[in-house]
Amino acid sequence: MLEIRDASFSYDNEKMILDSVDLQIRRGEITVITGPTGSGKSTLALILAGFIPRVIEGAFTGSLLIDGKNVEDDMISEIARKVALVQQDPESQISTLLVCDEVAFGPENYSVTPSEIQKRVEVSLNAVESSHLANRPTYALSGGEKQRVTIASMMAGKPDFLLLDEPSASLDPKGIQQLQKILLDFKDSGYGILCIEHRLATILPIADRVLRLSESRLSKWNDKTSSTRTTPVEHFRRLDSVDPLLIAKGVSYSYGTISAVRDVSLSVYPGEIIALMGDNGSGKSTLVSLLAGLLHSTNGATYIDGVSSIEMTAQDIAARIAVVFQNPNHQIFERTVQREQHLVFDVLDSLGEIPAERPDEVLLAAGLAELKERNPFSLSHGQKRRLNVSSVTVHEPLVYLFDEPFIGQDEIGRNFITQTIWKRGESGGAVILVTHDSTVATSLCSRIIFLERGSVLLDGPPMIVLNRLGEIGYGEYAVLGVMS
Amino acid sequence: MSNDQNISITTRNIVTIAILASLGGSLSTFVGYLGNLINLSLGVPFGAGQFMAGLHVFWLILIRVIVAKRGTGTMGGLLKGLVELFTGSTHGLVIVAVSMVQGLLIDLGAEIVGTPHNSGNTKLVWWLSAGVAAASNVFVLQAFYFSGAHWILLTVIALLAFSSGVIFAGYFAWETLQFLKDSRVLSNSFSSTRPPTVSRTGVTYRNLPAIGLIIFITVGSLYYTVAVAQVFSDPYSCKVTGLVENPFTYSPQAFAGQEVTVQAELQGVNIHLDPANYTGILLSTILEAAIPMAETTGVRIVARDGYAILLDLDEVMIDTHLLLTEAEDGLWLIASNYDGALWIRMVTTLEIY
Amino acid sequence: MLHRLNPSLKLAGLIIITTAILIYPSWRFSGLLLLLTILGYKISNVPLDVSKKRIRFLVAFSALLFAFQVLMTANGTILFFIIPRYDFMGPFLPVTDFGVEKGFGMSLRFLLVVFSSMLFVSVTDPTLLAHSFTRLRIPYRYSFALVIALRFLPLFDMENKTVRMAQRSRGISISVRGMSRILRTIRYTFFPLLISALSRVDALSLSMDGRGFGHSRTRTYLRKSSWIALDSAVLVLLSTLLLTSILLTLGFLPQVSAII
Repeated sequence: MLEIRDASFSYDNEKMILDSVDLQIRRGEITVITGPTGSGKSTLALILAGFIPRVIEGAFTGSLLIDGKNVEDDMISEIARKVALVQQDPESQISTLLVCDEVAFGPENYSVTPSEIQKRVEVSLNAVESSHLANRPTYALSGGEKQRVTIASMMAGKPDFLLLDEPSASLDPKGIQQLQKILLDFKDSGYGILCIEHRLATILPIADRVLRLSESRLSKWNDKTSSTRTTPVEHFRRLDSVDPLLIAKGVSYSYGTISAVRDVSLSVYPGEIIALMGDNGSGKSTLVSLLAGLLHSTNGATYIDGVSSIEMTAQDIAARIAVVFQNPNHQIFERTVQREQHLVFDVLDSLGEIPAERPDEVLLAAGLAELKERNPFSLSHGQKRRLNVSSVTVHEPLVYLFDEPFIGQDEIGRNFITQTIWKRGESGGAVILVTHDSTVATSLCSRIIFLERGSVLLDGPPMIVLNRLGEIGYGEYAVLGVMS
Repeated sequence: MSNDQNISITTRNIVTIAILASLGGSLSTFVGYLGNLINLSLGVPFGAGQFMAGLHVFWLILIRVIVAKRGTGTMGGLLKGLVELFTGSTHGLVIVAVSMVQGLLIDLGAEIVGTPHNSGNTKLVWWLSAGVAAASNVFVLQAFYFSGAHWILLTVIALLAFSSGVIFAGYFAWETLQFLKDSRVLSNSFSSTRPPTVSRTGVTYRNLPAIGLIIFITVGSLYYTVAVAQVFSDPYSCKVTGLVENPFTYSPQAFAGQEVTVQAELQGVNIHLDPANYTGILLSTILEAAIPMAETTGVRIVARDGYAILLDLDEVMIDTHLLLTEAEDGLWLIASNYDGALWIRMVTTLEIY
Repeated sequence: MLHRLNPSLKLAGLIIITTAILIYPSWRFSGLLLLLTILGYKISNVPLDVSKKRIRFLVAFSALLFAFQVLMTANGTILFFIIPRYDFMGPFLPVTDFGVEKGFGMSLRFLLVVFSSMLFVSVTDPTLLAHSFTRLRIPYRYSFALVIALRFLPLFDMENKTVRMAQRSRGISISVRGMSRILRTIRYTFFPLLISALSRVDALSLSMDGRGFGHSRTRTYLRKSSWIALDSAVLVLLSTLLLTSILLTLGFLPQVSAII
């Protein structure tokens, strides 16, 4: 049993993150901890894995016990033999160039013999259904594959306890199902498992017990499904008589020899809010860049408001399109929140009439008004994301293209982003939203475009597309649709 | 900070160095692209790109300041160079030498001021060493590909690179450090997890081969850099060396009053200089002063551009038309009795053997 | 065949070839080594395919080096003048046989450095290279930095593209007109990438610490290159090459230096 007793922690000696928390992780059991963003769930995992207080500084009191033995004096590498932590972002946790090297990394450090390492690599990869990846370069893996390799690399150290922080964050519904199965297998083999999950629905079906962390305390979670769902509102009918805002005519794109988008044709009309869905790697993000005129199709063409995007300058595009990419860090350029919000006015000369108070209003709505003078990169993930949305939409361009905008958002964030999307649709613009979440698709969107290996598989009203998906082997999109 | 901080390096330190070196290597293409844009906008084929040289040193400065441990500049430089080698940099191994020398110079600068980087005086030293590091690439590249380059050209380009270093690896790097501090990405919440402690002498001993390798590469790349120094020496002087009792550096002033004037005509294959009067010191007079040892048979005359000829010593000593004269670009050997190819410009060495 | 050699030895070989040509700058010697390098491509079955853009650069830079040496060298037998005598002016800029020889030497040296480096990269597994450094008694924690740096390289290249795309989507274009524009261009590219890169440091070092990195002074390896007889033979060969070039420079081998 892995146990913490009376654990309290603060990074700065002022704000208590955890306040005398007791927690027991038993073998052969899946424990899930949920709670709002920033409630200290990750900190709790760092304590359980021994990183606090050994590697991370802060005011820590309490004790960590493994099978009843206090491990206060053990070095981190000793505790790590028993407890493995898989952190949030798999990309940042891979340290080597080849999958087999990555899985071998732990055993190598503990001077396990090469033949035994070989055995462990095979067993661990097999356990996460990834034996075929052994000789692949790590950078070429998909998000789900990276996560499975990360888990395998932890299992190769033969720990007794496995801690996972937000394991479903970057997974598509298929990946989530696979993860559930893997965790159940581990549980049956006697591992003690702890999952930290913000999106509880993804892991609830396999949980043995669920705890909730809020206000520095752990408590039992009771199922009173706090519905934060946006009530579906009457959708705007698209007006086929008007000209489309975006047109793609037979566009394709490939990275080297790997083709990402194949021969896609579609039109986006004023008033439409479209969910762009599909498995990881199906070409959603590439299609967004193509539609925005940021990538140029190898054949075919895209038109923005009637003009071929190949003839447009960066300024022309920015005046008409707002793009939010996946990683918030990649699209912040200025040194204060205020300047970031005003950036578009420095860059674009002719923006027509925009009320002077508009930038501040948008910031206020995004809940960032008080952070104006802050360095934007010092904001939390959710705040950065809101800044991305507010700074690209401040001049209200015609079309919004948002790639997974809701990840890591609490209620304020979700409402702000939802409102932004709604308003654009209402006032005659259009929005394309990349998402895995069918709830979002049904409650917010008037149309789903579903991609499969770079081509449009289905395109139509949400309920019809989701039903059809269920029939053709994409049932997980319907099943796991009820999320957060 | 305590001294043993310098010996132990944490996993976090290693990761930081590796990641910054990697990003620097990845962005070097972008930096090269900016350099080309500047070349284009100024309408020159190359050279102005050196105005971006500081952006390469920028990464090494970040590494040395953020990790703040001895030797991390060199390590960062070596890594960044290797990364560029593996991405197929057009300069191959040379880029590793360039980058490592830069890191070494940053470390030297850091050694002079110690760790602090933000007070007035120390900042000045940091910025200057950033400039020197940026300029060093000119000399290393010169050593590899542009030997014989005129020192004025070298100085101009090196000054350009130096300013670039001060601007981008100094001013801009400090702005960046402040920015990183404000962004709170450099969390200080990490204490140092120490590797198993080893005594300092142990570390030094075990690292001997590595140190040897590093010294070898450094000395090798510095060899030619230093050799450039001779370019800066008086163009009207010439070393007299070899098997002589009295090696010395010849300068015309020291032989004032012994000049002779000869009339000579250069008869080359494709060139013909009309007969003219040349005034200078006879080679035999100069060599006499060095006192050649017995059994010496020849003299090797070397020019600044590496050109060298061999002449029979006995013949030289009796030749009354063979002299060194002062021309606009240095000492010329006037060899009226010989073929045109033996007239030498910019003589730098007379070696008796 | 070169694939099988010890990676450290291959690096040493690259360093020795470069050093040799640096201390004995003869165009024949460079040419000979260049031929041997091309032979290296053949025997290790590495295709010598160079992109068009790359070839353009190689040709341009070689030509530049050649021209530079020819113009900078005044001595030797004059072949012709670039600017012939016109009336009482000139002639200017003599081209001499020695200058042409030096020009060849430099161009060949450049091509040798480029092609031998490319050959080294294509026959060397960087992970094995890093691991083989431990043979030189470099602690594995240090040499592992090379693995980490190369592992993140493709990611950073990709992020670089994304940031540039994000810039375009905001209407920002690259400009080098004037100092403030240059600084802004650099800031907009470097800052997002720096933050993104540095924000990975915590997770990666925790993940490595959490898998026992640095647990003890030595470790084992799943894949490690060994030292084979061929390595020793190549080492002897490389040492001979280095020694020869030193002797040639010092003038101890007049018979040989007469040929190369």
